Amino acid sequence: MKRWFVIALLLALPAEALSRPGTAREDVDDYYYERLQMVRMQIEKRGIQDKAVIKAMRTVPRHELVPASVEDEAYSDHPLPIGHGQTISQPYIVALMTELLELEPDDVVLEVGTGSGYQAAILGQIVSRVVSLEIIGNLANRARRDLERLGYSNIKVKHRDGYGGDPKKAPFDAIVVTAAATHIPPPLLKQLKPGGIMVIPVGGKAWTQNLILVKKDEEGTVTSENILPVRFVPLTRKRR
Amino acid sequence: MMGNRKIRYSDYLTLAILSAVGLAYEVLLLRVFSYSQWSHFASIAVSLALLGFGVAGTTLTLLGQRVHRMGDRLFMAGMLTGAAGMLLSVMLPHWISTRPLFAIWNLAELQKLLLLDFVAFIPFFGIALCIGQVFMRWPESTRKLYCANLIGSGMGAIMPLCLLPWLFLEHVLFLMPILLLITATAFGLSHGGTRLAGRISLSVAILATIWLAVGPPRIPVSDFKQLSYMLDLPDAKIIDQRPGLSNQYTVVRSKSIRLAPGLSLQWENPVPAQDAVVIDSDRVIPLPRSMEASGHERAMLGYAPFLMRNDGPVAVLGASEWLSFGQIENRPVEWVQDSRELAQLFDERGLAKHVHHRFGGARSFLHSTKKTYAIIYLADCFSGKDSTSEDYLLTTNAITTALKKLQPGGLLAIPIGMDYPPKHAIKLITTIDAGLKNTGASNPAQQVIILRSLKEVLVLVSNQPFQQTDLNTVHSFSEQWSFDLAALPDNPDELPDTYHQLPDPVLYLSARSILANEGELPESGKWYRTRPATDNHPYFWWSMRWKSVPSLLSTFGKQGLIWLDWGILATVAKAVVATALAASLILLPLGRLPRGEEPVSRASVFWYFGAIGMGFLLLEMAVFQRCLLFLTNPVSTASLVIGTFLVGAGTGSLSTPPANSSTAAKRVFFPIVLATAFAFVVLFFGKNHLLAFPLWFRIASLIVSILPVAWSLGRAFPWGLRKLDCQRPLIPWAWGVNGFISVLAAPCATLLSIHFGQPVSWACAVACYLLAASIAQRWNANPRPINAPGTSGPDQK
Repeated sequence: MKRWFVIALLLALPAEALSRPGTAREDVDDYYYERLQMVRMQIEKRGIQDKAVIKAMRTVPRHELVPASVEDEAYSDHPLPIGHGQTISQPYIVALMTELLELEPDDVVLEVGTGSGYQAAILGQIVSRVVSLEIIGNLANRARRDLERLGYSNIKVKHRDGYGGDPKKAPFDAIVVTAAATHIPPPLLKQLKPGGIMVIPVGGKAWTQNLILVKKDEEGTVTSENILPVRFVPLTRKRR
Repeated sequence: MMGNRKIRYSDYLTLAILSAVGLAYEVLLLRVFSYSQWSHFASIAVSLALLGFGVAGTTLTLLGQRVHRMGDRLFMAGMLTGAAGMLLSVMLPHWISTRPLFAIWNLAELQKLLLLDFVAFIPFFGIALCIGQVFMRWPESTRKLYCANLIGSGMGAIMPLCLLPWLFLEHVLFLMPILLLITATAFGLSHGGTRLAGRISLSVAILATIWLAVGPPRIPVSDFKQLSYMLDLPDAKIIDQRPGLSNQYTVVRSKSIRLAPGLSLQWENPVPAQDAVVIDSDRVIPLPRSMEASGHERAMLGYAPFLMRNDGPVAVLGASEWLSFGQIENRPVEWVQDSRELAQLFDERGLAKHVHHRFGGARSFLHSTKKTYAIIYLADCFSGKDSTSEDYLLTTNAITTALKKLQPGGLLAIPIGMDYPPKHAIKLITTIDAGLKNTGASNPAQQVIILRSLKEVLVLVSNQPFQQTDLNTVHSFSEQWSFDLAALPDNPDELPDTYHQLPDPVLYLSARSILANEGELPESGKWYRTRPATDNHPYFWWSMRWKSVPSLLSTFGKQGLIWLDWGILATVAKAVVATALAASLILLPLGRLPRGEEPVSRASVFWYFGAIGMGFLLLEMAVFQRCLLFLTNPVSTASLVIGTFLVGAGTGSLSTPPANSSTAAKRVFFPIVLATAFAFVVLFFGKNHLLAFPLWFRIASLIVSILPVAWSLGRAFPWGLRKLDCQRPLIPWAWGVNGFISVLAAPCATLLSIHFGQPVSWACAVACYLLAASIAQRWNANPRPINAPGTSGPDQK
């Protein structure tokens, strides 16, 4: 029964999913079919259409970037704890944020809040260069190590407070912030290229954050668009 | 036999201390739930307490005559159970972490929540076991026992008021089991048969005292609270902590704390890192590290009123994340809020040199101040409140009063958060519209400007139509900093949502519809309630329409859960659980109970004690809701109301009319109606006069108004118990029915006031007593010969 299911799934796959020239793992790993299922059920069904994003979501081995204790849930439709009170976002939110950035292959992207490195890996599949900033040293080191192991040579993970961005590598074509902020950090706006796009969850409290799309036009005028409410659920963390 | 011994004076004292500890523990649990979880979990404390009393009643009913045989040993067991439960409920949250909200869909969370609630219920059960049995053992002393019980409880309500300003919550909480153990030691050592228990109690008391001296564990805070959020920031550390009457204050330092709500997207420099004062565990106030202005304050939405009115006195009401004295510079400011600790924190850093502190409630300030202001800033509104909380600052009456305290052309500035779909912004516009119309404004659209930033809305209201210079200033300010204009007089064609786009320009269209009567409300403006909040219905933050819930969930999917009013849902859940528990635990002992002899049948006992249980708590809760208008501070209001009710009811019980007097029912119930009507007139019709008086006079007036109500209510219960003297097996059951129905009354009072307004809660309470009066009348109309022992005890002479 299971075998028939796998065969049916393989037949149903778009050809490109099997023949994709990969940068990281393109071979069929233990979670390959779960990943394809995730893309079909959680990403495509919810309206993500950008082919580059879908391709990246099919390729990046999310299970390699989460702690071993939650590896089995890596492709589930919810966020997961990654330690230090931080989470890896639900796959759909990662896909949505990436699609909103309207990325081109030559783009240089800044990511604030590396966390597990999953969002950076997705970006690294699509664009030429990614700079990712993480304020928690242990997470930055772990993500750097994992991304190197997976072969993402175009991603640079730096341990620093993302509020100030990375002025030396600026300007950026796109900026994605994966940690909620009470306001949009002005240095990040400054480091966004004219014509650039930023996606950021805004709102200090749990339950009341909104995903905001920020655009800077060619004259430097910045506008925002409210995309959707996002639910930030703090997962298990050490009791204080 | 110990059960047959005569009552001593020390028994009244022990009962009073037990009652005091029980009540103080209940008030403290209110604070603990509010601090560690969300405020709508706070009322669980009341339910747990009442449930404890109800279950104790059922237990005593089932024990029957064994209560007499067990006597003092049962009393001792109750005290030790109470103390053990208190110690356990302090420690358990450290061993089991919960997220109560998740219990709705997560069975494991539900089990953990039930376990914690069960442990928190044990102390009340233990104490109630003691209190309940004394009524069974010495029914001839019912009045004195009831009086000791209620006066002790009244003292207990005041105890947290005396301790919390000086000690942290965890210390005060830990004092309660120690007090209970000391009482148990004294009781145990002075009665034969309980000496061993007394020695054990003494040992545990000594150990607990040592633990308290060393420092009890801190109360864990939910992951969802701002304090947790702040402490999760990298390098975050607590640099100061202070206790307070209604709040604890924690100053957190982290280089990642940069609070700037309403900051323009055009501002390009970093906001300097600040410290943050977390009030209790959920309200955050920025605490700049120095007075040096970084300039970003002028690029914040909140600067608009200071730009428009750059001269004249300013009054800032309350405190929130929005507060920035850097915007006000060197102008005279009166800062009205009720926390001396917060004022000290600002003063110690020299952040409020030009600020004159006015301690007290914002609403009473508006009524009492003789001055007029160029700007009145309702800073408090930005922090928002739970949907079940009373907010007397965002009502049409408050808006009208504030407008009268402005200089001609002065500004009332109201900041709130902006969501889509807008949960509160439309209601704010309707409330302001009604408030303006109360002042005689014929065209409110001419007196309102609404500005919007990324997630914030600032509404500026004037007591006169805005001048062209104002409109020019606002225009250039909004263009310079890319703020959207959602309402601007004489500018109907202003392009809405230029800089911060929503799926549709809901605020702009709604403002035109409400203020200028142009067009219908847009569909997205109809998701939530828009009826203006008033003093009689002060639930501005209640926004959810029940009929919109399915469409919210179908439109937004799981994300729609964010937009529900969880406070209301939690209250409804409590009501359902309380009903189920009450029904099962009231029915449980029926098999062991006699049917009763007419006219005092079992059914009539149920209706009588149920009605007075429901009526008492409905009225107590309704009075509490109203008294918040006059006192603002919930802890002192709760202590005042609960204390007055219990002391009043205790003294009332001493003057209970004889059970068999033909006029007894009238003498019991007529004063209730009279006293309630008197209190209603004072608290509702006399509110504007009362609010203008100083605090001490308001407190005295409230006590004078409430005390007769409490006194009259206190007579119905002992009178009913004395009617049951001829059917003693029914006494603990009646006591349990009273407790269980009271559990149900707590959420019912909230739901009634929210849905129909506070006067309806008062009316329902009176209706309950009228029902009880009709039963009492029936009992007295068909008197049966009383031949049971104890009915002609000393109290009845």
